Amino acid sequence: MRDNGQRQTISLIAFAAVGLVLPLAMKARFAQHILIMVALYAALGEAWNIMAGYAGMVSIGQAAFFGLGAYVSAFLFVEYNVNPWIGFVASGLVTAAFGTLVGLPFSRLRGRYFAIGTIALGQMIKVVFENWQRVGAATGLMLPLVDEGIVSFQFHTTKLPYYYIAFAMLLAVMAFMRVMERSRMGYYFKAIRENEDVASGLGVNKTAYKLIAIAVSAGVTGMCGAFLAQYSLYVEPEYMFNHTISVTIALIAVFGGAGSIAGPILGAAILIPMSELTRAWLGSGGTGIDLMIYGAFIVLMCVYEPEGLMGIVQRANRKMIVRRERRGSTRCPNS
Amino acid sequence: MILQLVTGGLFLGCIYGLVAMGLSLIYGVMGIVNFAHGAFVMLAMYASYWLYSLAGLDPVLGTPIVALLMFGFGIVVYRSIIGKVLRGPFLARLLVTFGLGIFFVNLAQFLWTPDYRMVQQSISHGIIMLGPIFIELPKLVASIGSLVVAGLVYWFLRKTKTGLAIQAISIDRTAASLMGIDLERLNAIAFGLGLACAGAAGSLLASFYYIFPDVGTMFGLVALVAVALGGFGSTEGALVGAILIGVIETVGGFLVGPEYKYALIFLAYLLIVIVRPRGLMGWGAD
Repeated sequence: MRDNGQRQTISLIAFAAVGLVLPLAMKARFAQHILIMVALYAALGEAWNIMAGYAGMVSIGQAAFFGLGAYVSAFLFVEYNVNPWIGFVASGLVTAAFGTLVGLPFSRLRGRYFAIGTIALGQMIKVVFENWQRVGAATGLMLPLVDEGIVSFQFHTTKLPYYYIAFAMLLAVMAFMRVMERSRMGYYFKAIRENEDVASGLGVNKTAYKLIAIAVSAGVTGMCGAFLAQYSLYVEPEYMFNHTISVTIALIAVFGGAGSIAGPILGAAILIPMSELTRAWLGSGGTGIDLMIYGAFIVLMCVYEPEGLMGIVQRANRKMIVRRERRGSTRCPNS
Repeated sequence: MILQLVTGGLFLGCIYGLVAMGLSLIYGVMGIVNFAHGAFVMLAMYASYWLYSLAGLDPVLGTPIVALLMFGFGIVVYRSIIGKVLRGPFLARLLVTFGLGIFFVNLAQFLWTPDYRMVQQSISHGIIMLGPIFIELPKLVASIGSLVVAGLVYWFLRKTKTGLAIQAISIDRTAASLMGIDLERLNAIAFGLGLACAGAAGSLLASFYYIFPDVGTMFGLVALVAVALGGFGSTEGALVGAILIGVIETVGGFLVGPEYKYALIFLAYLLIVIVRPRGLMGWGAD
């Protein structure tokens, strides 16, 4: 039998293969839109997972990084005509720097105080952008249409390239996490999550590792924001800094299973189509039914499946192992 | 001028205080951060509005009825949902009330549309002058009402057997249950009481505030910050934090600009909590 690491690498490659051919089977524009959103939110969920699922800092204010990233690339493009790809990278760097900066005081906060601090941060930055004339205040910025192409990061005739960019982002984050999980850093993150006092007593520089987790998470989230700005060609504070985005990001990871690489992907693959489809079917006219279903779903999930979907998968796995052992197999499962 | 602003801030702070007290009570007893608290304030405002428009009952006078209704509603929500996630993992406990909040806000939007409603001709209206200070009567009545309800809850917690048992749980859950305290029953009562606070505050607010589905969201967030500012687990801290926030909102909003008032509240929270990571009067691990 192969060891766990090899199996993970194989699943990662299999996942990449499925992800690459999937949009070729789903050709409808709306279906491709959903695929793009799933890939984007899966990447956002993974980024959240780095700081919350692994390092134990539960953030409900990721929209702060997301919106900031979106604005950095949009502003550079609209005002200085900077190529969106450079803006995309700049978004990652600026939000990572911003994350480190706010992370410094934040790393002193724990548990609920940290979570509420991130909510406060998300709301504050939204107010600032709503009143900042230089970046269009409450109206936001409209990105100009240019000729489509990979260099200009704009595609009008087909959504396919957007999907592949989002999917590549997701794969990159997954690969990073795969390496992180088995590195010293990954173990330090988990140690801090389990008990930061003990971890720092054992010589882990907890502030430094907390800052790394926040910076990486913020950077990826910012780049996702830059991607959405490029995809929707419009940024406004009400949309980009929306508190619902923060909740959705946390939810996707929790729903799928926090602290695992597969969790956010499972979560996004189920939650995002559900929310996009209910919005398309029931959301017209602002009746609120779509979000009502969404809210009820969160509650049911927390009550009946609090460990997330990964909990179900693990239970099934355990059952299978037990069954295999009952069958009287004498082979050692790890040989 | 400053005196005028501070008075306004104190009034606002008292109402925030009542909302925050309910939040703090729920947290203290069962460790749940109730992100749906604002939605419950909103539901109470609608309850008060319908009592007014269907039965002609003034929101201020209807406060006890709405508080009682919300108490019963709290028991139902606890029995059907909250009680079931209490033994679950941290993240499920953190997110379940988010789901509840989203659900109720959009239920209100579905049932009553996003239109703004308002109670006309409430019995408390007009302005009185107190020396150089203008005082809006509805706000004065609401803040006095809030303090009365807060006082009642405080009395209940300190002087009745049930109240003392609730306090015992918030200090040490295991020891309390070993002493024969019925955790499930008291959790339900504490959750009901927390919602009754939100209900009373909502009803008092309804006498002068616009009513719409999203109205509670900001109240809930501000109350949450007040609780964290005061320190999770401390009911008095919640009241102090809330009054502080009321003053920051009105005075800061005047000095910096009203559009920044909530940003100032959150900034104040971050500054205070960074100096004192457990809030002004908090105790416990996190």
